[in-house]
Amino acid sequence: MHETGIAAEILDIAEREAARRGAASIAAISIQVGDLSGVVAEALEFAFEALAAGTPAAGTRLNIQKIPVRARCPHCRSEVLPGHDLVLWCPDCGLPLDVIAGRELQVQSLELVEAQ
Amino acid sequence: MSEKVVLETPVLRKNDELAAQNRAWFAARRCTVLNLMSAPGAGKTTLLEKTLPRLAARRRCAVIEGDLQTDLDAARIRATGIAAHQINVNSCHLDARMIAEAALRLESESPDLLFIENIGNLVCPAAYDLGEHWRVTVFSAAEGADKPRKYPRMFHQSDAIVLNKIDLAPYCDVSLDELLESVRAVSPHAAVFPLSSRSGEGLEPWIEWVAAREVR
Repeated sequence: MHETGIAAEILDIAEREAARRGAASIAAISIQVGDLSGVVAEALEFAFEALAAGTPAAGTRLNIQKIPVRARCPHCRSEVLPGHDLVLWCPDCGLPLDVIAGRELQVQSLELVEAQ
Repeated sequence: MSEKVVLETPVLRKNDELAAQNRAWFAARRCTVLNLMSAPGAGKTTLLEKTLPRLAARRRCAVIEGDLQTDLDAARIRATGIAAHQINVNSCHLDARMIAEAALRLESESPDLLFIENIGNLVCPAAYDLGEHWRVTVFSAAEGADKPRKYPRMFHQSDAIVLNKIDLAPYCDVSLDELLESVRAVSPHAAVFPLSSRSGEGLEPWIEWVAAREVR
């Protein structure tokens, strides 16, 4: 539901960086979206297209890399992929797991078209 | 010619920076801030109505209410004798900028415990740091035991989970054990408080937990 606001922030970050570097346009924006980020990738794509339409970003590709949740047991140090059930307990030790990936929501990189 | 630029910039960086400023502003005033989040109708306002009078002897409380429309909730809080400020926004969540403005409206009350009742929504509020010190998710028995796993982020990042309306569980074909197991699966580190705001059952441990909160 808040994907429109998220898409606007992404565009803002990319456009500021492009302007700072004097780029002619932005060919692509790559972002990471963790499964625990609370952001739905499909809704974000839709919002991004809607916001970019009719602006210089209309032709910009949005590459979304989804990051699955990974967790580690603080005791046996084994790494667990909690999967769809998202049970964040160590199956061997019965201890709460530490989440080490899956919370990401960041602009990873840009592909800028250089001015002639 | 195109050029690849690595940024690794958090998408919500602006909000995160404002939230950090809020947190420092509150800490300078020794005001502990709790962010209450839940689906609509889970019972945040009723929980506050029952909680605030029992804290009055120990803490100086105030409440920021967030809703799309009406100041009904702020009126309910003020009826308990506690200062409240209502935020009305066409948004699915509160953000740090809204809290910075609202906090100024309550500054003259010098609260040492500020509750923020977020907009009812199990998804979006979880993404926005408000500058709070403690996060609480209110989850009602009537919502069904599957919700913590379907909407894990809010549960996972909360310091406490209030399992409200436990008196309704028998009417919703769900057992307290099922509800607690589901909460525990995604929130292994959270303090969990099964209670009924309506009957008062289980309120005491929750009140004690809240009364002991400090800035961190």
